[in-house]
Amino acid sequence: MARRRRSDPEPSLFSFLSVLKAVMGTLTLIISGMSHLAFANPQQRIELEAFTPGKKTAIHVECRGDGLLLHGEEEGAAPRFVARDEIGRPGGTWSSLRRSLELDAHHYLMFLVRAEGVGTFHEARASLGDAAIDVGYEPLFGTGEVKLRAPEDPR
Amino acid sequence: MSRRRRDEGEILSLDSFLNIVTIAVGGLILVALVTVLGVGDVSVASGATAHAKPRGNATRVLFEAAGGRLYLLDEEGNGKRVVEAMQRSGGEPTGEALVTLLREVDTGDTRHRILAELIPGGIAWVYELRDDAPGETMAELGRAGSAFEAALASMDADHFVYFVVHDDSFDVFGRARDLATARGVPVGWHPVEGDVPVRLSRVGALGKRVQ
Repeated sequence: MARRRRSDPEPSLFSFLSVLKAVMGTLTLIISGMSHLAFANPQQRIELEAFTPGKKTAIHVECRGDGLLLHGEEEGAAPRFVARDEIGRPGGTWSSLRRSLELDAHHYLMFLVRAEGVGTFHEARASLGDAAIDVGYEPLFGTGEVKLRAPEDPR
Repeated sequence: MSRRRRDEGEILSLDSFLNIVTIAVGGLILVALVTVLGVGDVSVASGATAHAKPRGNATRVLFEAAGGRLYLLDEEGNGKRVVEAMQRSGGEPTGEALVTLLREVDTGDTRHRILAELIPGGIAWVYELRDDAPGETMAELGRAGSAFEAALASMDADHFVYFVVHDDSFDVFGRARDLATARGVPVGWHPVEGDVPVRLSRVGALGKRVQ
């Protein structure tokens, strides 16, 4: 009997099973928690249009309660913030963008309007005046951050 | 020996159960990764939202999203009510007389009271939302038999929907826009800050473009 025990030990799998069950429970909690948070604060993802010669490209401007967030044209570029009271300031970031767009036939402004940024949106639009700049606007739902992402290759 | 084996009983193998649990844990890890990385994304296509003029003969149907509810803004019906009120008063059909009449006589429907303002180039119609106006919540919009669904069902290719959206009602607007888009109805919108009433005039730019 002693020889048999030495040659054929049978380790108990119950402790390993307990660990796995604990991991399952933890993961279930994490998934449900993350899902709840994600659906409560959906993250906006702006699909960048593929470049088409002769077609205008959007410059995305996020309208927040405290100001404008100018998103770069390229995916991952750091956005620039313009405070609401600086929208009308001559020589500021917003004014410079407006002047450059007046001479730029390849870009247009796409305002992304948050619920709390409606006033900022109207101020920014009013600041454009009669400038020959094409403008579009789209609502942003939820409070998640905006991410610009290039469209997936349809192939 | 045979009695000893019977006493110990048969040893239950946990290997298959362990396999199932391990696969389940692996699956959960994958689901967790997908959840964390992507479930909250809401895609907004760039460039597809530029505003454009609707067809020349298209009829506009206006809705106002305010206080978490959606209200039909009945331009045609309220226009007739204003004409009837003017005829009943027997006064001169001037702008000043109309402004005074609508200030003194409550005219409109169950949702809006109509007022008028003189502006350079004509008259602006002011649609004041009544306190007890019947509107539909986000949950009610998509239900079978809802007023919004009925309005959408009655529209053909010669109609477009335009939403005036107050900043407290983006969610209800989003739901209504999804429903209209699903039916192929062109949609336009305009955001409004606070609870200011809707003002419509011939010279205004609001309500003339769709996406």
